[in-house]
Amino acid sequence: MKRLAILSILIATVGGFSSCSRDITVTGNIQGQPSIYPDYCDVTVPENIAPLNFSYTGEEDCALQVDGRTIFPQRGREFIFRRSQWRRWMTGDAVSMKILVRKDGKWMSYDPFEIKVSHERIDPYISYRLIPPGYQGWQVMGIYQRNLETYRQSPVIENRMTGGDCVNCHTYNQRDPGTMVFHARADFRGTFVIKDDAIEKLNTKTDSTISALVYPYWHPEGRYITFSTNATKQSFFNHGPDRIEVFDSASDVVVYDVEKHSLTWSPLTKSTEMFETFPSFSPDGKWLYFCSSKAVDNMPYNYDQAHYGIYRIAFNAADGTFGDSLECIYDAAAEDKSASFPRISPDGRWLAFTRHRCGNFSIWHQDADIWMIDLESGESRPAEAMNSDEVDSYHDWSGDSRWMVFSSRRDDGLYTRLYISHIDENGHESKPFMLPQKNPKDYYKDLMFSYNIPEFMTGKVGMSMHRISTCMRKDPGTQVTVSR
Amino acid sequence: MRKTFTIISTAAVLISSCSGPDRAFMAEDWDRVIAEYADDGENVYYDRIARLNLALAQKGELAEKAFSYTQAGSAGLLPEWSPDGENGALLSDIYFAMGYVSLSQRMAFETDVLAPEGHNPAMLARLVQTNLIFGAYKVAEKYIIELEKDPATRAWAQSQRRFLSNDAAIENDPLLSSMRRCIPEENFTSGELGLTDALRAIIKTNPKHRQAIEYLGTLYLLDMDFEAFRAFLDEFYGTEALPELPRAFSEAACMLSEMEHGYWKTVGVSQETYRNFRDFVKRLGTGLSMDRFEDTYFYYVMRANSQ
Repeated sequence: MKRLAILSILIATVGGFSSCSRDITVTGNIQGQPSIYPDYCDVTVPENIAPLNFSYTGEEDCALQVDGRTIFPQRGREFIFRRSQWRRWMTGDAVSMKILVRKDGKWMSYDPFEIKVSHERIDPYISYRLIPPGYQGWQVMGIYQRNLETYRQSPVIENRMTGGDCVNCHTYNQRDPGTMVFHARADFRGTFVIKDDAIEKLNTKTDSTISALVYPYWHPEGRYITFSTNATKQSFFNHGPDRIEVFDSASDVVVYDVEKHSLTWSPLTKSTEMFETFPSFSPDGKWLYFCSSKAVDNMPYNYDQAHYGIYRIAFNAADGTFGDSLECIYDAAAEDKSASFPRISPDGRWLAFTRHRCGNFSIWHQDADIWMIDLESGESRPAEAMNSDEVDSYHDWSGDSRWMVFSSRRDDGLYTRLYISHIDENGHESKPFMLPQKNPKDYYKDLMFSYNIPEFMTGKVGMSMHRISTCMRKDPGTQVTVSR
Repeated sequence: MRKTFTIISTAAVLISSCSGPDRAFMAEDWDRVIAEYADDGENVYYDRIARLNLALAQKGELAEKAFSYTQAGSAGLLPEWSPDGENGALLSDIYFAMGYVSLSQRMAFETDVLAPEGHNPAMLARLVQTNLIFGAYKVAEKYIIELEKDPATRAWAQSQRRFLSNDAAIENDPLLSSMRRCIPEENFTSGELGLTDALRAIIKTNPKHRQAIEYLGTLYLLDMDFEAFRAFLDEFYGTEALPELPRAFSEAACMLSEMEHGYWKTVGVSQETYRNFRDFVKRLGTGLSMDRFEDTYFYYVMRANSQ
């Protein structure tokens, strides 16, 4: 009995590694690349990424040839790679793969494709929220962290710990998992700041601001966090790919002083003549970037009249003061477009943003694409290799400015998935690859959640979910003040 | 009265866990829903009235028989959504009946997300249908896959696969093609138009969709918005959408004649209906029994004004 069990394990192990020395004779070619899911044909990956397992999506029996070695699939058409084998492949500059299929008893070969290997390593973790792509109701959601070198995902905070609150808008300072901010709504609402192994709850609605604090971004020195405050509503389209329009009828940008627990702003970031939102700091901390549109009244009738451009204002971290003028970085209105989420690469060279028809909530705009601005030349262009016919939106830079993670609805038009693209020193992006999973076909087909706000991290959040949720449930919170 | 066809069809297999009135409703047994409707005379249960009205609408009888039952204003036609998810499925059904596909889809999504058991099979089925109607085939397939996991819903889910990326199959399906024809060419948001203007757009797009015109006219009547109802008749009476007036609309037209002499004749109201209205008027304030008028729209107005 024991020998039988050992034999079973051995068989399973050999099968699990999905490799086989059996030779097959290829008798013909099929022009073109095979259809595989996820589409990893000719993508560029970092050497430290988890194996890019995939499935052949055709109906025939199939096999895979890599370096002259034949690999047979598991469970029909899934190619699951052994980690050690994958690591060996990642030491080279590219892995050439060829899908073989059996048609009428004969093995035919598709054109080969490559997985190119970059030795510019990627940050080992990303963080994101998983949430149904819904509108108003929610039940289960959480903020998670994922090790990119494996498939392991673990929660930072799940709302089951706090009676089903909405947790949102997480962000980390310079990818530091020890310096984080996020919001919660419903019973235990508030803004939560994790820093220096401490967590504090903030009550952020003031008489001087439109709303509680919304979209956050850390100042690189860690003393400030910029937020927007927004009067946001939503309205449903009667048809079309954009199911919903989420719009602001007012918004401002403010800066929160972590030490003083106070808010400040410039009249140029908090104007009744303009909507200001989606703030972020430059990597050197000297500039506050944000999106701004001329204020539009009578929403939602005039929702398509809101065109947000990208602006910046000088910021002095020594005393928390602002410059006295705005500089327009990207005049989207001149192109009858809108820009969202300005994010500057850590090396300061590139500004990535989402460009779409109008408004500011790009995730519900099918035309949304990621664009790049060369901050040396001022030239802007679409990141064509990254974009698709569906929504391509929220994006984040890796610490070395060579990788970008972004969300896209290209998989099925609704459920947002994560993709990673290599960006070379000239700002050219590579074809992105879908976030790898152990069994990506089953995983993504079954997953009824969207990935939301992906951010790179240098490691794993150290604070336990229990400690975070205890603060959420028990801390009465510190009232944020206004200091101007 | 033209015959209408049932347009919900989220499969009888989804009803196995329901009982009593719920079971009849899920089975789309509209006669039974109507027969089992119980008015306790005191408490107003908007969801219950809305189910009755939906059943009447599905039989093409909303504007004929709505006032045969105690009504409670437009909230009994379209109740307010309670975000705890309790009436989201009903709202999805009502919007679907109206031909307002996007809001039906929205309520189906909200209800499924809030389902205590993880999913609401009927609402997943609605998500399949609405995404097929919009041509969002990949998303529709995602919900089909989910429904295929459950033996109770597998057969229905598999039956929907024939529509994936197959516009011709959808065109040949009475339900899906009719609903697809309800989608106005012009795109607008729910906030821009509001429900009544959205229904007007649906009626103009698909005048054969009887439920939309019955819901719109009845909505005006329940709110006693005579000005809007008069404009509604001006716009639609005599068109393909409203070639003749059903009973409640006729009775309301009689009331409009109080302000505009002889109006009832211009919209095809029968002599008998108008005579009945005049009898009703004569009895007002006399202390004579009004019982025989209880199922009329003018009785509804009288009662509403006296409360």
